[in-house]
Amino acid sequence: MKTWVGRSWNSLSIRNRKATYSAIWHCCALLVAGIFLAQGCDDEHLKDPAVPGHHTVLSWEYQPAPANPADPLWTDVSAYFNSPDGRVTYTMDHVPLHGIVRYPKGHGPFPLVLIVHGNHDPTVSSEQGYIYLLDLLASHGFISVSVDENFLNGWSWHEMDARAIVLLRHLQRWRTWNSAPGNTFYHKVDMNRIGLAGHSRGGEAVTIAWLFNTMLNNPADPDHNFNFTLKSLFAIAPVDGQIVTDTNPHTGMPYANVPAVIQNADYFVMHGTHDGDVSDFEGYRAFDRAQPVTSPGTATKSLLWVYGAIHNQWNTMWGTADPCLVNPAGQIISATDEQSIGKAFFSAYFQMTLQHKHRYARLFEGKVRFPSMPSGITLMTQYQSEDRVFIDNYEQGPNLATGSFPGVTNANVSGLLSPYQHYTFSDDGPPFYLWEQTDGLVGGWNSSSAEYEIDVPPALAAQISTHPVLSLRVGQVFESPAVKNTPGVNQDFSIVLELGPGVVTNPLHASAFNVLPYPVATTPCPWGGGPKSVLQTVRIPLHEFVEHHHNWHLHNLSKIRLKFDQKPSGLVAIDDIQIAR
Amino acid sequence: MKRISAFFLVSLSCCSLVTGLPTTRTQTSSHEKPLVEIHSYEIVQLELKKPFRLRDAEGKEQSYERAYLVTIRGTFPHDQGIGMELFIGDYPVPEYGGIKDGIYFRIYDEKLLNSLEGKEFRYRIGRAEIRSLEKRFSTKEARPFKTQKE
Repeated sequence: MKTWVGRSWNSLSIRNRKATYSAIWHCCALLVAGIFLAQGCDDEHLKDPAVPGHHTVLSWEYQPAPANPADPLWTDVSAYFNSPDGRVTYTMDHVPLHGIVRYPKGHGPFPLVLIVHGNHDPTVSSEQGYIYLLDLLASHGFISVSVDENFLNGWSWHEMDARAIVLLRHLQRWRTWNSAPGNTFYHKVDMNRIGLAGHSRGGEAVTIAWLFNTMLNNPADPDHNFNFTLKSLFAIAPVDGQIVTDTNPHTGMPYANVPAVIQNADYFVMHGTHDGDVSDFEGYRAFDRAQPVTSPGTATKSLLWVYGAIHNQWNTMWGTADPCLVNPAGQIISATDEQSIGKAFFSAYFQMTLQHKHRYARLFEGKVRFPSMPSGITLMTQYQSEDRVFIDNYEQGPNLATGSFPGVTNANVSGLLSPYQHYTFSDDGPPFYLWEQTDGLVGGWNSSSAEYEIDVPPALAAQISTHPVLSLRVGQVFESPAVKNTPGVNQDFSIVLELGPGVVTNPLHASAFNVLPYPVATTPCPWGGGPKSVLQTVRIPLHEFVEHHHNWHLHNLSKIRLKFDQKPSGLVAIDDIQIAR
Repeated sequence: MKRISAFFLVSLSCCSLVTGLPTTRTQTSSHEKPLVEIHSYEIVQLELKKPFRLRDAEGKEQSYERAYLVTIRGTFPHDQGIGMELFIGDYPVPEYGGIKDGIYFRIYDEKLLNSLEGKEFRYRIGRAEIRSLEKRFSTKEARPFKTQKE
């Protein structure tokens, strides 16, 4: 080959050589650019998602004609809920499909995102409270709609199914408009890229809409002909489980498969430490259930825990106070700050999940912060990519010695971790304030020699080439009184790998990849709440362990060690140790 | 909730409520209204505008031309995300709506109505434990039922 190249090169004229140089130069430039793009560029090249995009934004609003009872924008939800609040002027067999729309100028097709409010005074136009999000999303190339479900609001109970059905009925209208020649939206809507967002009760409604989309789908029934391609769900301070005791009018029995376990659709939840309505962080349970460990990963899940955020400020129509004031009130952030954070995550999430801008995962991993996001506000994030291999998810029973991947074993080296406890993370108070719906490990230490050692079989190491990130959820446990952790002080530990006999990597510190702050000592509301030990995902690119050591090979990985040597004492909760993309 | 209640009692003095929502019954301060409280209730028979079809627990569809409308006046959390489940004995009220000073719900099945006689009103908010409202359900005083058109 070398000979052939040499001979060929010598036979070229000067002009041809120049042309060849030029071609090689361009190829190299393209290659470099390609690598640059494929790797996601640097974070500084990631556009601030809260800055409006380049699309011109147009407005529209749809609602039924009051004088035309046959208008298809009237719908009947009375089978699902028939006890409207006294302030509601509609009967449930004749409620409006009313939406506020912002959409980009152009031919499309554009992805479609519906957002729906939650429970509030039914005389308030709650749907108007998300126009700030609609405008932003439309500028980035989305048809975005805020759905009016005020007729289900008030002192209402068990209207959750109706909230979900209304969302699906809106999607039916969009499918019709998209296929109707002459309609403004004819072939402009990408019905294969649909996202749903919801706040409060609307946050659970989007998961129930996802469930009903197939569970209640009946192509023969125009009212239940659904089967939409729901790709992406975004929950803002959602409730969870209100559907559980509701009755399915089609069977007369409670709904099956509830609360929803989201699969095959991306799921995100955000919530504030100072939420004075859904003060028990119910969406954390929906997050835990999503993309279950027993199923192959097909979609992402992510979470944002905002220090100082309250319930109502995500909606600009709901004021700046919640039904209950959570103390310390001095930590509550302004509505402007709260909405700035919401904008960044809302826009980045739908760009990531519906426009394939995967680089925005960096935001959900806690790796970047954009200029539009207020500084000084603690944001804790959790992120799980769609492709993961669990090492320890602690769902196989109480035996901590056995890992989740066949052949993985775990050890509390020298017994210095105390407690060292398999634990169901569902306590809503002492001892660990975990508020979740999952199992994990609680570990504490008073010795800097404490260590959690994971023995890894070759079959797992062999998957590192396609799963190059070590990821775990970990967080400080709230203590009352504080014993092992120090309020206000971030926690830290180090991680080392053993790469076969005698090869031990240098330690990397968890704090280099994400901070582990101490939980806020919030007061409860009369109906519940209080401090929460929320975890944070720490994602470590495995290549960082072997940088500058050409003879160290990750496929020789034999042990992962979490060494609790950075603080004299600590108490942490750990879950979902995995390798991932 | 047991744990929360204890914590709540300790911290009550520093937990101010901004919208007039009353505090829980477990607190000792006598001047504050309880979180949930029934003052009175009434039951009337409702003549429905059109028959209402409902599947019973065996999945059989039933058609009802009348319902029993139960209206409870009292103090309830309202217009919130977090929900309040209402029970009569062990029977969870399937759905309810609000009126100015309380809530209402319908019972379609007379057998069910009769089975609830003497049972206690109870409630649960969010993840909390089920609590008594210290009132019992009875149709005795309401009989014969007044009739009302929907």
